[in-house]
Amino acid sequence: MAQTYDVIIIGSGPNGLAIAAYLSKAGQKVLLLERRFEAGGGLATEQVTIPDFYHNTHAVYMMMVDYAPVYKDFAFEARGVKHIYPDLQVAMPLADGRALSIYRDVERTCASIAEFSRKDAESYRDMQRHFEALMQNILGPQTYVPMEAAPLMAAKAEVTELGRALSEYTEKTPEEIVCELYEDEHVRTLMLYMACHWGLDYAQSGVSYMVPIYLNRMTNYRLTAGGSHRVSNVLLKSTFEQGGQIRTSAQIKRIIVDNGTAKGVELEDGTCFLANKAVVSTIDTHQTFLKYVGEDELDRDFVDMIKIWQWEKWSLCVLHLAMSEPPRFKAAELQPDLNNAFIYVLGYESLADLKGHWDAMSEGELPARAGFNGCFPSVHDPYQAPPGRATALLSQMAPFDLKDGGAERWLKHKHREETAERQIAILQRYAPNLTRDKVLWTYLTTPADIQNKFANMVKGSYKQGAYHPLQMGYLRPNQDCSQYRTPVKNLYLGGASVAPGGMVLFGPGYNCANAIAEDFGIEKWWTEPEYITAARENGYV
Amino acid sequence: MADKTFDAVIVGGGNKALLLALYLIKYGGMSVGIFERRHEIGGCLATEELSAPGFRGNTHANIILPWYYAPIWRDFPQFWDYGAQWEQHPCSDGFVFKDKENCLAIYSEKHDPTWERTANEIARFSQKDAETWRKLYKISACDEYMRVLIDSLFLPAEDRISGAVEERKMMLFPALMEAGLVPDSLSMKANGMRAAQEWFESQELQSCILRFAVSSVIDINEPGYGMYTMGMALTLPTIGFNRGGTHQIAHAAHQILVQSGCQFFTNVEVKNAVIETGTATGIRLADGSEIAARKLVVSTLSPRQLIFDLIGEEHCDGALKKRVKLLDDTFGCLMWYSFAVHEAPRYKAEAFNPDIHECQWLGMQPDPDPIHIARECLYQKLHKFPPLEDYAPTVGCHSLVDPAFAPPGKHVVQNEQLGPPASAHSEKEWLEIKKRYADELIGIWQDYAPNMTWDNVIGVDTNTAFDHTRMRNLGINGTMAGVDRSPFQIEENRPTPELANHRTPIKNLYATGGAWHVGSNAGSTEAYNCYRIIAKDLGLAKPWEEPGKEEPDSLVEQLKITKQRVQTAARRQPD
Repeated sequence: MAQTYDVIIIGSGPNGLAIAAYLSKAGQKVLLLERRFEAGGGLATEQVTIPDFYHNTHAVYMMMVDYAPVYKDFAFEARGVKHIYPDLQVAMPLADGRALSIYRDVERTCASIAEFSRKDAESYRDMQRHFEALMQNILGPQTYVPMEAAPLMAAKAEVTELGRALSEYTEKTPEEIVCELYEDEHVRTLMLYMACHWGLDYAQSGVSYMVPIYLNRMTNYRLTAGGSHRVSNVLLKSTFEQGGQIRTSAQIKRIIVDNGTAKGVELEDGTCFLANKAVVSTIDTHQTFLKYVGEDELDRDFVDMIKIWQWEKWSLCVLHLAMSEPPRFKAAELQPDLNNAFIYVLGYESLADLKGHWDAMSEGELPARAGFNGCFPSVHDPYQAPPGRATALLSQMAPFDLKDGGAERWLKHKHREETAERQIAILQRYAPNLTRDKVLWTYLTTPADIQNKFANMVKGSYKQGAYHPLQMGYLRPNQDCSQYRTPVKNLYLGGASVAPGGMVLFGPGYNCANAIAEDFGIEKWWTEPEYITAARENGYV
Repeated sequence: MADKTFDAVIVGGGNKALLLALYLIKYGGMSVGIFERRHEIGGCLATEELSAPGFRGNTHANIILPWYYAPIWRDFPQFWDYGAQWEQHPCSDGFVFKDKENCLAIYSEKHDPTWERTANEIARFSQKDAETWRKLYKISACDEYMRVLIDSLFLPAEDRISGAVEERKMMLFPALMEAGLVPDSLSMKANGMRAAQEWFESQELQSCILRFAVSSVIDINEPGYGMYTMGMALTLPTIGFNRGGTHQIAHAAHQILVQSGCQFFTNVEVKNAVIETGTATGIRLADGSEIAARKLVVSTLSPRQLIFDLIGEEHCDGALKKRVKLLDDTFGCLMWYSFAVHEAPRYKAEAFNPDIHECQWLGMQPDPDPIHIARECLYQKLHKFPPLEDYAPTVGCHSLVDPAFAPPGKHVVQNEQLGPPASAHSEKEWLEIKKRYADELIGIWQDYAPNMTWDNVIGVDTNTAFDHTRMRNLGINGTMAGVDRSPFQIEENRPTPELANHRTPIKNLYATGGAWHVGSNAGSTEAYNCYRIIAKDLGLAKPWEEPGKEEPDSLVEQLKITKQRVQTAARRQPD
């Protein structure tokens, strides 16, 4: 006998959980289906080294805490889940002992940049003012409303000054934008890294509206106190409190489609769950359509569109460390607060170093000198390590398919050990107190590991797919699905492969929940945030 | 003025806490608040991807027997659907021997409901043992045995002394007589090693039984385990695991609990109980806030934490304090690794029996003589590793049976062996031992399965007793049983006679946990028996008094249902 629900949601990452939480509180009987044995997806906190060290093994830098409606709508703070917002957001220490420092405060940042270039300092002030306006008025709101058709959006953009500015940026490459704004080599390097490291091609135009987003978010990163998993816990608990359910370690066999309508989900073990209203997939489009719906149920053209989906050009190699003491950066000798930065960009001494890293990855290589970003969460949240000790994560852009040995090479024990040692050695150049004996234990997660852990992150694509102009915005994943409905009636998409995209935004989930509520006449208990209403009134969205 | 108030406040959010909370809410009608120091609930119902991402290792509890959750499945039907799903490998137990490259495979009841296939395997070593095995089957299958088993598990100490319980023990006697397996005073007082030799003649079978005894935290050199040894033999075909990983069990309980209004507080350290004129009225957290308990406080901490931290010495009399201080807690300290591998181990012994690969609890030993296991216990008592030639690790590969444990085409293998208690070495020494033992194990493994080279390994979770101290209630030694299961620390003496019935010197403060009866396992006896006592004292609803739920029979019934469930994975069709 099948069990029946109103809405069945495939995937319990941030987006799936958001959909479940919104709709269950709206009185819907929801069921989450999760392949892993743990809910939360990338919102993971695990003890992967030795006792009492907590590691955020996937999502760490929370970038939309100020914009995503989910945080207020589910009263995170009242439930005891707070975010830490360090003053010194990003630091780039250099071999010569200097450092570029990006603070929450614009003036303090200008002062730091001025040591490299006065002109760039002024430019930074203007840039942040301008990007803040873009974020507040257009980019932030756009994340939490459905995409409109491209021509309509283009038309809207022409009407306002901010819109026109955004269009201009979009036509440039990130490298062009950064080099027009800044003259100093190190400033350019840091800005280009922060603009592109999440997945933008530095030489590609068409999605460069993301550059203002990432450079604005550069001073808006937060850390979840107690670990990233606390965020998913709030949403899961809220779902349970409202009578929602989850099945973990559930392997799906198919989405039940009857007469072109999604009716439910069948598991590999034969269990069937029926959905009165909607089935939502928050996993990638290949699993969703090719595997679980099946090509037979779909138009030839649609199948072709799904098949040409591009996975990401690079993934991540992240080393987690349990250390007997926190880092003392060489650059902190000149600037003491440098030991308290949230994110460190290490190993790029020039723009050539940085571009060289990207160029090598497109050949399936990872240069020995390749840099990474690092974070020491316990410095900001003492809970995450025993007193006096420290956690670290070193996050390096890395290709999935290695030229030598393919993706399998990431799973060779020896290669993993060598990779870990190499990253530690780079860290030591900037924080010499971290001699090898101070690193008590390591845990490595490579692009192949990301795919092994999260089946929807094919080729380590942690955003479920490339941020390429032909599959972003109104085209993400394609024009038939970017507004959350799909060619299969009652089947919705609500994950990173649908607009606005990946990272912990809660954008796709929020928008999908709204779409389902509208389509089924479900009364919304949540109201549109003021900043979005204002953006509507001003004609920005 | 309390920051929060609940009817029942539970300290610790592990296995016993979760299962007890189910009863306090549904049958006790109480509001419950659970306070957990770590970032997640579940305690030793833990599964982690420590060998490599995507490879599931049960870092603490692993073996699940079919009786573990009998009351929970009976009283909370959704517990199964929500993730507490028992499963078995084709072979539940076994041993491979290097000298003759042969093996003994003990088939699981799922795949060998009448134990006949196993009898045939045993016959390859000893006809006499095969016949004894068939007799054991008859005993295991009879209701009289199952009733006695359930009585011994799901009754608190004070309720095990009853006419009805004694009568049911007597009713088992004829079955034992018929099987010619009545223990005499020698076999009852014998240590495991001697008892196994008394009951069985083949060293291969003796080793299987004794290796499992060690996994149940029994030192096979210690006298008094005669009946336990027979019990071990009877248990072998029922060894199983939880589908998807042990942590799924915690999820199942957690989901029911949150749906029922239970509140959880993680990342929270409890400082002590609030005690007013000998009565517990709540708890105080490390941050100074106070949580009030209208009806009771339950500790799921270790006995030491309970007496010295939660209650405080000043509230306890000298005799109890001394007993708790003297508790042995150095046995049952494990090397409990998991290896993410490209290929599952391929044993040379497959020529003798190809099913040996899919054995959940497979011992590896140079030769069949259980003296290796006896020596392992002796060395462990000295807090040392035995010499390499006495290593007798147990290994098992869940991913061969449950593909959810590893990415497609890859596997994860776990191994168990006794190791020194955590306090025997400094952190620095442990960090070296962790690596060294992995090397030793791979070296040994290759002798049995040549493909187990470092090239086959993706990553290792070097999970030792040192790492087990991540769970504070396992004490400074990280012993998996909380406190040893020596003859004077089991049953009505566990953890001490004063605490065995879950009451403490403080009114309205109850205690349970891994250091209570039965101990050293992931089951529900500690939680259920604690509820039995609380229900008695506070006059709460008792499921075992509901029609159809009389015990032990309703639990015997549940035991049969569970075994049946695994036999027939029914396909459910949409309406």
